[in-house]
Amino acid sequence: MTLTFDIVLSGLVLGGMYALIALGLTLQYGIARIINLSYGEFLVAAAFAALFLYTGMSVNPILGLVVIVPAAFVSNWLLYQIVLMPLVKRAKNQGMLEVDSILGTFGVLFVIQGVMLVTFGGGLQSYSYLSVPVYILGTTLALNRILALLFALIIAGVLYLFLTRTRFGTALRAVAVNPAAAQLSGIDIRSACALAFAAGGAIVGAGGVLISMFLTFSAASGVVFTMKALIVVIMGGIGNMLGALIAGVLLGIAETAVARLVDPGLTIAVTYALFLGVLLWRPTGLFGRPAR
Amino acid sequence: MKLRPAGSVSAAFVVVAALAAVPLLASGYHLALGISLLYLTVLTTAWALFSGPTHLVSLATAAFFGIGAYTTAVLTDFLPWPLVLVASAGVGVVVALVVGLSTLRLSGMYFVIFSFGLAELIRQVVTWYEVNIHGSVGRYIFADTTSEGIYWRLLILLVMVLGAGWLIRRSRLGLAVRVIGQDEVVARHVGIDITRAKLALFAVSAAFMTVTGAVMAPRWTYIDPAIAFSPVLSFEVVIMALFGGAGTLFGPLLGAVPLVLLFEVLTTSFPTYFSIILGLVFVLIVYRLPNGVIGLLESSVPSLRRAALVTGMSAAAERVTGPVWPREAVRGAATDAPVLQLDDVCKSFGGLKAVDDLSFALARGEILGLIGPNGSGKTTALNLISGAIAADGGDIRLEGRSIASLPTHRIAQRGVARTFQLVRVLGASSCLENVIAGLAFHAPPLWGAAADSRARALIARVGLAGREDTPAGQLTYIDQKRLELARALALAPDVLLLDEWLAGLTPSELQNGIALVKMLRQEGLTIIIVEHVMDAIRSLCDRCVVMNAGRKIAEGTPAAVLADPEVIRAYLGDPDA
Amino acid sequence: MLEVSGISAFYGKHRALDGVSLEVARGEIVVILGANGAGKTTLLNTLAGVVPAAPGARIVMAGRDLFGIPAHRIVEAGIALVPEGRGIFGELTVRENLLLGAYPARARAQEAVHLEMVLGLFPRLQERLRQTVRTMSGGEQQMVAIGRALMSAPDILLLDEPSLGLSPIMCGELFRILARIRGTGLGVLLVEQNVRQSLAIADRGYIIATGRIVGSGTAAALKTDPAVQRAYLGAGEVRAVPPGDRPA
Repeated sequence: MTLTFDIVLSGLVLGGMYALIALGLTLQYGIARIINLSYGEFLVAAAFAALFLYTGMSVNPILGLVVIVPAAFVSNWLLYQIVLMPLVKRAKNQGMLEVDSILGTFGVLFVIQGVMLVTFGGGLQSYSYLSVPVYILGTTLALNRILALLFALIIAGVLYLFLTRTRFGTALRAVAVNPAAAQLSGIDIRSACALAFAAGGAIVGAGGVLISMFLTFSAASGVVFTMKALIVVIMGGIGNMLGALIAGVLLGIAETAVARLVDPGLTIAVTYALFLGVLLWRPTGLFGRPAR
Repeated sequence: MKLRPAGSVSAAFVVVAALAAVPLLASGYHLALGISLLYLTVLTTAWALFSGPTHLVSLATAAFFGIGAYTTAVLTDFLPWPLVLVASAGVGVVVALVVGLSTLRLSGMYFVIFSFGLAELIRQVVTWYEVNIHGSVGRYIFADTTSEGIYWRLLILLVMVLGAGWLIRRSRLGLAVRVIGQDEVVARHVGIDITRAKLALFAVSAAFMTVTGAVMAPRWTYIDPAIAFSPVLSFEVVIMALFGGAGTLFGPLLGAVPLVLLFEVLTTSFPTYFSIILGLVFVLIVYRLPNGVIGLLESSVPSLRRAALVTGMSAAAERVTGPVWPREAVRGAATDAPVLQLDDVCKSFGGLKAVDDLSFALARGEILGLIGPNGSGKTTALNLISGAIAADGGDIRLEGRSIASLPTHRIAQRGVARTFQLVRVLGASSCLENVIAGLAFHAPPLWGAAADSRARALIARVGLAGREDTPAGQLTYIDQKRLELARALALAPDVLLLDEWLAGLTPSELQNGIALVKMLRQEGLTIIIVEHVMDAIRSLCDRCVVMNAGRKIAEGTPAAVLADPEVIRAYLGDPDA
Repeated sequence: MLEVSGISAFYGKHRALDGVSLEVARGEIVVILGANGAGKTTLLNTLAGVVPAAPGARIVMAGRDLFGIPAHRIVEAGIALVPEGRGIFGELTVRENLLLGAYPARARAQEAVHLEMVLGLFPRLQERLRQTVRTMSGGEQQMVAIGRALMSAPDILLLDEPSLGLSPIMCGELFRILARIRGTGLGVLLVEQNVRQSLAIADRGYIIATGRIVGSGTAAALKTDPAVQRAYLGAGEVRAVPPGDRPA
């Protein structure tokens, strides 16, 4: 019984991270309609930044959030304006934009990964911050993981409030639902998309800092995170925040279960199996809008 | 660059012979460079085989290459070399089919995203297998092949993949994926089974990539998953194909050669910065393309002409004086049974009942007008008949057999053809190819010289003679409508659905259009027309069905229904609010 | 208030509008009649900035030239469009839809006042403020759509076939509401299929066919003009070919 509890709790923490990361991608894909293959690289870059701040300047990661999250926001905003905006402007339809943005961000992936390889090398990295065991419900969890989950919840909560209680947040949701009608309501779509993209980047930056507290990572880890984020977003139904949350938690629990019960080397296989299963059962995702 | 067949074949021989002689002269570094050039060119060409025409960007090259390399590493001690190759190809095809069956039926984005992580997935699975079942992660490959041997094998592979590409372009499969890549709705409505076509091509492409990996494996005496499944490979292949033009047969080769040399220089001069430079180069390429990546994926029309479906066709089209579709005696005009029968057909979108218990029968050889105010459900009814959408209830029978639950392409093959409210022609294809698309996937299909002459006759019949080689995107609006009609007629349909085919025409164009439709009816075609141009309805239709808010409110001759007070009320509204 | 001249628009090669000119003043309802495909929707989309007009067009609103201005800024200039298909945000609530209508700067200060006005016009929405719009009936969605446009405090309201998909009773209510909107001083440009009910409340009208204005006049004159019926139902002179004359 404690094993199950252990798995569920650990899975929840991991799933919470996945859900947070997927929320950021939902902003980029659901509102700005960009499939960002370099998403995971920003996560890893933020992790490296947290590592650098902690080991080099003794700034703890939580404090590091204050610096890294705005930096992630700005860099993603710049990425949208400089690299992606020309593609958006010339795209004649949604399909063309998707292909162009996938390939464009594919290139950005290699640039960022290359910079990280050059700066930090290819080895595995980690640091130890608050890895104190805490006894909960008959099982132990590291304090840093609990802290990470806590902050993920706070960030998700703030995002939720922003999107539902503020005028601009509602405008962003409107752009996701019906961009044409949003235009007619006086919303400047281009600038809204840029800000949504940047906000997504800020969230993944926060996610990177949080997971750096308890996971090992390397300059090449980005691809796997991008993949998982994409899969969680699609599983949950594109543009659906609640769906991304549930799908993320589901993935976290499934992965932890497989890692503990079967083999830790099969986590990606689980991800893909889950992905395929959901798609075959419900092609628009667990909570996606039904196809016309 | 159009050489006569005999000339180009001998030129090809010379080139291949020259390439084959390289190992005899070069060695060491230059031979290694030659091998790199060859295997990357094969991979790039194989990639473009699938991703070029379908516009589905596959990021999975490394996955298949690695599978080939690993299969060799595992089997080379047990099987003779030829069987190892066959086994590798087999594994590659199986994986391709699994991936394809899972994702190609869904929207293209799912395929791309799936392919993105595929190499990682397979690497992880292979690592797991190696660790738990095999006991060690790396493997040694002892095969007594020389570098020269690898070079020649790759050369043969290159010739094979180029040959396969050439054959496919000239085949119906090649036409099918070219149509799919431009407009999937059109593809379905000319009888193409989209999933099967994509799957077949994906499997062929994957097989070549896998065999390349198998052939290259002996280069590395030691192999482990990280080496075999390197993600940079997928990336490089995409760059090279796009740079040279993924829509043409030799484009990938033209892109691969200079870029391989460039990357050689870069890796030796700036090894640490290679990844960054690669990424920047790629972003620049995507950024600079005027038509986006898809523009590069699409073939240019001159190359289409080169890949002409029939060689040596004479310019003079055979004059076909009779009706241009087969009227088999079996489909006799003797029976009185209706050609098409709708019974209580329903379709709802969300809470809105777009079509509500619609029933009518279409008699053979008649023109039925389907009219009604905007939003009455006419186009939805046509979409239900052609299979573009599925009905929620009721039955639709064509020649007595139910078609309500059939997929679109089967309905097209059974004999329902249509035009679209917003004209859908394959803009990048010539008019001839547009019409042949209607002939090639019919049951039974028409191909080769017979298809060519039938297509030219159809093109002449709709008034586009002389424009056979013009790309459809350059035609005027009304000429595009005519081309669409020709494509629909190519299907030799039992029922022709015209969706506002006469809309947006000037008075003289309208008269020509009406005359054309009248001619078609005189030849025995059965037609349903949806129209708002009432003059056309009056002069063309034998009968009309009037719809309003999804329901049929009147049926009869045009004069009768257009004088019906309820119909007038539906169009003009109630005088007393 | 709104004067346009020489508007042409293309969809690819297809000329959807050809030199259209019209005007709408405050406090009047102008209706545009014509069969489908005549260009009515394209005209409204061009005025709202959704579709670009070909160069040479003049779109002047209260003396200000709006040619080439993107859609989200045309709302700021005082023109609001209720598009075909309603243009509502299905996944959001009634309240959110309406408040989004007040997003433009010109509408923010008076947001509460306008909300009260809109709920006064559509009392049925008062009790459904928290309902997701996607789950509402066609008529109620239309109310939300019009309400959202009104929340932007427009001077000119454009409506594209608002009666589409509405029951006859809802249609009647809709037209009554449009008359009341006119009463508040707005100019209304209405594209409609329901000829009789719209002419009953309109002041003036234009007839459009194949992208061109082919007739205009007061509503009273148009009510009896045979050109209107012709635009929808055809000339009526050509008889259908009798069965006996058809070739075998």
